[in-house]
Amino acid sequence: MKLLVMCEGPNEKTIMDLLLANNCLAFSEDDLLGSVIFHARQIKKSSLVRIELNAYMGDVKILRI
Amino acid sequence: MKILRVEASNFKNCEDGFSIDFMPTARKTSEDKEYELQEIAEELYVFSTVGIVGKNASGKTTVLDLLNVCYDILTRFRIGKKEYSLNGAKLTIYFFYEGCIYKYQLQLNDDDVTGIVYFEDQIIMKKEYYKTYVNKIFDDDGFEICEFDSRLPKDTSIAFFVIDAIQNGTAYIKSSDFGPDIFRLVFYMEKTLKNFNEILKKILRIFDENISGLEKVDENNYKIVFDGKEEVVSDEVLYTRLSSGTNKGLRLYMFVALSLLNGDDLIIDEIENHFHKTLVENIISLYKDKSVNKNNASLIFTTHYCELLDLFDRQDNIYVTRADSKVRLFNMYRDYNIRSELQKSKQFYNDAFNTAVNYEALMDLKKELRR
Repeated sequence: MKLLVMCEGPNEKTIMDLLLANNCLAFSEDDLLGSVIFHARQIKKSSLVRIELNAYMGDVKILRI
Repeated sequence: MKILRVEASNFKNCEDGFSIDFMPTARKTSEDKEYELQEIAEELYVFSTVGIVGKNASGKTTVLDLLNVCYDILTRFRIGKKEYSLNGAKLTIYFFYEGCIYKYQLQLNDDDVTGIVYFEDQIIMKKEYYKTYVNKIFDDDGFEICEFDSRLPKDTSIAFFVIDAIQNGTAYIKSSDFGPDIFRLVFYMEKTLKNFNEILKKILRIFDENISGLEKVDENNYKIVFDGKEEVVSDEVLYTRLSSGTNKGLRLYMFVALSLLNGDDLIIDEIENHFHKTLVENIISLYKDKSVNKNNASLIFTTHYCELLDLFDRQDNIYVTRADSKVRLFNMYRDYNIRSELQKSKQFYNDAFNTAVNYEALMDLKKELRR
């Protein structure tokens, strides 16, 4: 299973990126869909999220920040 | 150096005043700024990806040929021999380089015998970039002609005086096959790619998990580890041993890696050729993801696979080619009234862009085959 982390805005993403880079989260880059945190409000409006969802066949848990 | 706009007249079969833009014209959301656009200077954005669609023989490759000529001029300052004539082609290239906007006007003429392309009537104009003028950067106001004291041979562009060193440049991947030369091309990158071996290994794993190693022995021979067994084979044998998809994928992904790491733009004709849809989507995603695309590389491609358009969150980075007597280029945002919530691929199939295959021609062939 992978985590899809979707941030509401660029500020939230920057903070999450910092926390991830400094191992301050309960998950690592390897646990993330696409190995990154996304700035995306809706799946259907984010092509990058859709591309990653198309490529990964397993279950996905969504975390909204 | 980033190209912002190209205007052309008398280039191949393009209509006069043919123009393509790499700067956004539609509204920019914060998500667009994260993924769809690159900020090359304060408030100055260019596209991460540009898609060109259109039916067969509508001029998609012509657009890429034009861009390839422009990149040759600005990165190598010379134009190599082309399979088409450049005689009388007039170009205006707007580009951004070291804080300034440049407008470069020139005419090309080629020698039929030697194939050498000569530069004529060259003028380079320059103005400093300020974010307050971002919407007026193509206006003539503020441009001043650059004067150069020295002279260059006629087959060398005066862009050399501005950019002054050959840039890494842009790769143009045509849809035609390279044959066994693929491997020479791939291993040529060994000199420029820091982590070449690791990248090569990871690319091979995507296409064929049986290959665990590939090394160059000499110009024509390679050591391959296939299914755990080591073997030295010639490039021709290697080419037939690997699948067509692996050969093409290896070439394309190595160029993608080089482009992303150096920040060079990559031009691909028929991106979907030989490829699984997921891989094409993956290549597009690499250019949108700034954690990978750290140096502002752009991907410019043509495709017949209109589902790829649904991966574009904007419309102004999609161009549609149409050809009647001349090749014409339309921008999806500027020239079509397409509601943003509608799927672009559906609009394509609904013939909103006049790109549908001629049904009567298909039926004519079917009837002929029935006889």
